[in-house]
Amino acid sequence: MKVKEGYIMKKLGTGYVVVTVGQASKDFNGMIRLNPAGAYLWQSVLDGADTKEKLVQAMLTRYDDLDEETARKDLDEFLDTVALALEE
Amino acid sequence: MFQIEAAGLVIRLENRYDYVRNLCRDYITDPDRPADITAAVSEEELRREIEKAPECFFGDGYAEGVVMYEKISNALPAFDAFVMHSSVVEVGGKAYCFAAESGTGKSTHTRYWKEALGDRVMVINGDKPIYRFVCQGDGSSDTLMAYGTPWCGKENWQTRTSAPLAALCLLERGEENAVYPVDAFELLGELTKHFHLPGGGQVDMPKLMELVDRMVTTVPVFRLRCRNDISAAEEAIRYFGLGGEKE
Repeated sequence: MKVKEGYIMKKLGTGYVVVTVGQASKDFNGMIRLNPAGAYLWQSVLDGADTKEKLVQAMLTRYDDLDEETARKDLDEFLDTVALALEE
Repeated sequence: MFQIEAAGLVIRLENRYDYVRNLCRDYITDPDRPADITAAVSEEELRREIEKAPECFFGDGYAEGVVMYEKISNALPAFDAFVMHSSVVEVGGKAYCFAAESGTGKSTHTRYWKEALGDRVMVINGDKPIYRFVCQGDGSSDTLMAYGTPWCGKENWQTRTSAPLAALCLLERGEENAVYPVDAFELLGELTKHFHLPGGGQVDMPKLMELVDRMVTTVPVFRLRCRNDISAAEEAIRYFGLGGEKE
């Protein structure tokens, strides 16, 4: 998976938002809110974690007290939230 | 054609109707100054505005003014500025703004502040003030200023002045009064609804989000739950330590 062209993440207050620029604004003219953990996953996708397995590993590396089952559940929630901003 | 100065910007208005010039009379500046923003309304844009809400038609000149302010609003983010649908008052050199959906009671709440504080309160703008970031002094600090503009809602509350914004209050109606700080990120959907961004999709979203981030990191955001009487204003005035005594 990768981030679609035109979708970018910005810091906003205590969290982050994903918004669109250029052509992508025609498909989506809103914002997706991400908490810091979501922002970390977004950055991981940008950095090349292009499969669920790589993202789970990224989470387990980052958060010491996280178990794999919770990580997979949290990852699914994240992927639902940002579904329209990602592509295969 | 004439020029106004608002929020420290020179704005050229290429008007066809006298209404706009009259509306802007307190803000007129030298026509030879270089303009930061130019607003002109085509015949087609004017007709479209009139057709949008024929029941709110107050004349071609009025419609021209509305579209001009939409154009100005869309041009502001490039100058670290934006229009937020809100009422903003000045007390003791600082600005307090009340943002709410139309019909929630922004104007009523503002009126209660006027009743409670008398001459100590001044309405900078009752409906669509401009907010703009300015660097003070050595350039290290980032201050969000609230500015009066000619476009100000049906009460005609506006003053050609400015003040640093001390608090952003998101108004809601309630059975009991309450004022408490909130995490703006949690209320982002509500907050961004108040941005005056006509003609959806024209605004530079990343730039706007940068401005929202700067706003919520430099200005405290509060929920202001209000009963529909003067006690709501008195509660807020007490909370912000502004004293409730009329001079």
